[in-house]
Amino acid sequence: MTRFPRFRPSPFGAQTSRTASSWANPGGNGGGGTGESNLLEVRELRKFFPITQGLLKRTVGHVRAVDDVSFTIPKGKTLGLVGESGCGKTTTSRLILRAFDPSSGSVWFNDRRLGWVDVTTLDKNSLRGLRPNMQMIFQDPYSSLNPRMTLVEVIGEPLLVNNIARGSELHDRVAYLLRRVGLRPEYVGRYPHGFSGGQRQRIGIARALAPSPRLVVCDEPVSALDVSIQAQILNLLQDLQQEFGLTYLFVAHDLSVVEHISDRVAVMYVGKLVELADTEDLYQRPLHPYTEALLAAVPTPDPHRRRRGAVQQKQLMLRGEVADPSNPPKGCYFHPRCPYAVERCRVETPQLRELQPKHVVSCHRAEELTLQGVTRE
Amino acid sequence: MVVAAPAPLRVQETGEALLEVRDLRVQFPLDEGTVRAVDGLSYSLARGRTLGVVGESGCGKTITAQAILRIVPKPGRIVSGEIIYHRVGRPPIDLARMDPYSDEIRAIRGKEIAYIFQEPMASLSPVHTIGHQMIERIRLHLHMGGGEARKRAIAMLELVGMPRPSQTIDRYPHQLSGGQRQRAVIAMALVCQPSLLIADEPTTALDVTTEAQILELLLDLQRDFGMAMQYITHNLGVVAELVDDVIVIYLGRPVEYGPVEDIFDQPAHPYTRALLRSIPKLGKKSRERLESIRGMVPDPYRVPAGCAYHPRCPLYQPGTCDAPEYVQVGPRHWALCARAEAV
Repeated sequence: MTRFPRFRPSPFGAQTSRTASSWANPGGNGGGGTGESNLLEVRELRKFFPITQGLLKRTVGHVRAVDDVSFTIPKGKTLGLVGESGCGKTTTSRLILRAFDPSSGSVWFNDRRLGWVDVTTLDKNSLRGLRPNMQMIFQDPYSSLNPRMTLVEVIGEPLLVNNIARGSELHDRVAYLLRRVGLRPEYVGRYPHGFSGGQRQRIGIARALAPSPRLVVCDEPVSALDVSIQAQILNLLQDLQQEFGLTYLFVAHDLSVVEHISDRVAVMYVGKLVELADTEDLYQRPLHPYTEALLAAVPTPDPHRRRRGAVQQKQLMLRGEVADPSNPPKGCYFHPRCPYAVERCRVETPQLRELQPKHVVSCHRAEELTLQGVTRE
Repeated sequence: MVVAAPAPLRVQETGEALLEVRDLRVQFPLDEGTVRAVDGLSYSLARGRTLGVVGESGCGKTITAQAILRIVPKPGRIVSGEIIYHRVGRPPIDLARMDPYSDEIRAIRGKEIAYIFQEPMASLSPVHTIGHQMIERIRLHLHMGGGEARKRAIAMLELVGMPRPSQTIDRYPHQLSGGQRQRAVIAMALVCQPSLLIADEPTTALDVTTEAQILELLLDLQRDFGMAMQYITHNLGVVAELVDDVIVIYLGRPVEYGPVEDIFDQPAHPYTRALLRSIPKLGKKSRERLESIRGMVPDPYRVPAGCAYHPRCPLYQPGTCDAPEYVQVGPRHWALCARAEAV
């Protein structure tokens, strides 16, 4: 049995002739980043949550929420992160913002002042200095706004705690932000309860933009919204990206939304990255059977191209459920659900490899399979 | 303002009528004003067919379904209209006139007309096993003994693709995954072989892969049992994949009704058209701006006068849009729009 050399993909192709050691030992010439065009580089990120049992809280196992995830995001671009619930999308995004500490791995951020810094090892003070650069937009516009705070308090808080503005300057800036996200500046004194879901999401966006961030992590920002409001928010996010040169990590489970907004897309399955490619490439020529199955599952809004009930559709339909991340199957985690699985998939864990330029995948059979993507309209 | 109800929508030639809703109005008297949650809804559903009910949150899709089962929450009530339910070999009955606590409606609710909620935990008791809840329904409606009922429940769980049904039947809902719970709810809804299944966003809370499995399952079961389905959703992709006819609701009022192909090919109401254009489609060029509907759905107790959609409508013309009526734009295709020909 041949083992693949342990290949560390650099998801952005071209500038990738780096050895394993340069991944493991970044830094050297002025920080850890590869290219100045990148804003974020995530390397071999892992987060294992311990499962404890008994009175002494003995650790009896681990939930491998994020298991060896690496990717980069260039400045001003959007990386979409997709996968079924429980695959580690949200944990990954929280790790990047260091909402909690990873078990191992690093998150390099290209700061304007400090150059490349590893977010995971920064001390409290430096981290605080970095926080304004990295903001988050949450899924649920109801639970993410404090009902006891007025809009000026909600949106102004990041400005206040980061010593960016206060007093009338803060007020002006909040009014400007409200206008920028499509709300009336007169609303500053109101409380969130009087606003609809879409308006609340705009408030959340204004809060994220307040400290002039460079990276915005959007965790399912439109999935709780109505269809007609989804489009407004997606358009707003795109406008803001252009205007302020924002970089997005866009976490979502809706593949059509992700296709619409992302430059590149990463697919996760049970804590692992299984495929990463430019959006068009990934959607039209998927190389991983899981990506193919995800794409096939999306309902097509065209009654003339109905696929439900078709034999071919049934073959592509994923059986069973996502593997348990505390007790993943041997070999390729996807093999119990994979229609193409062979013996090798059951025993050997596939490594991520760059099969085509800028297109990485972890599947033993990626070369031989011809998978079905989305046909271009 | 009163909108003329459409000429009672004729039953499809494809089958006999199962349910006919005529000019249904459900209102909620609240402190802020009266909410006309359903305001003049008429449609008919034939046996074995699927009707998609589309609209944004707060438009009255769920209240319509609740009205059919007579479970509209207080203080809401049906103020007028008929819900004619046709039963095999028995005279049709008007569900809207029945006492919601009568034995008669209880015999229909859950047996002949079943309901699947969006959130599976809303219809499952957390302190009873799946089996307990299914068997209760079977014994109540089908008057079977315990052993027989259990067998039937296991068979049903197997039919909906539940893994290891003879063990899962003794599980509590919290021991199941989201997809499994929804399967259990479907098994429970179908165990009495209803003639009408009302599914209220049954896949919204699920992953796309699980959603695909559930949709496939519903189609299979519908084919096997020949039941009619009223499928409530805001996901137009699901509508295109699943239903025969579509009714689009805006602020309690049906604004368009027609066969699914007509609705997607030639939407006649600006709202329908805007909804269709505002969703990102797979395989479409990304980075294009989406067409969005400006503004938002108004407060339900402050419905705009005239055409309720006019403040958001790009085709609004003062004078023309004050009293829209239903216009027939195809053989079985109606729209509530004064400017339907301009769409």
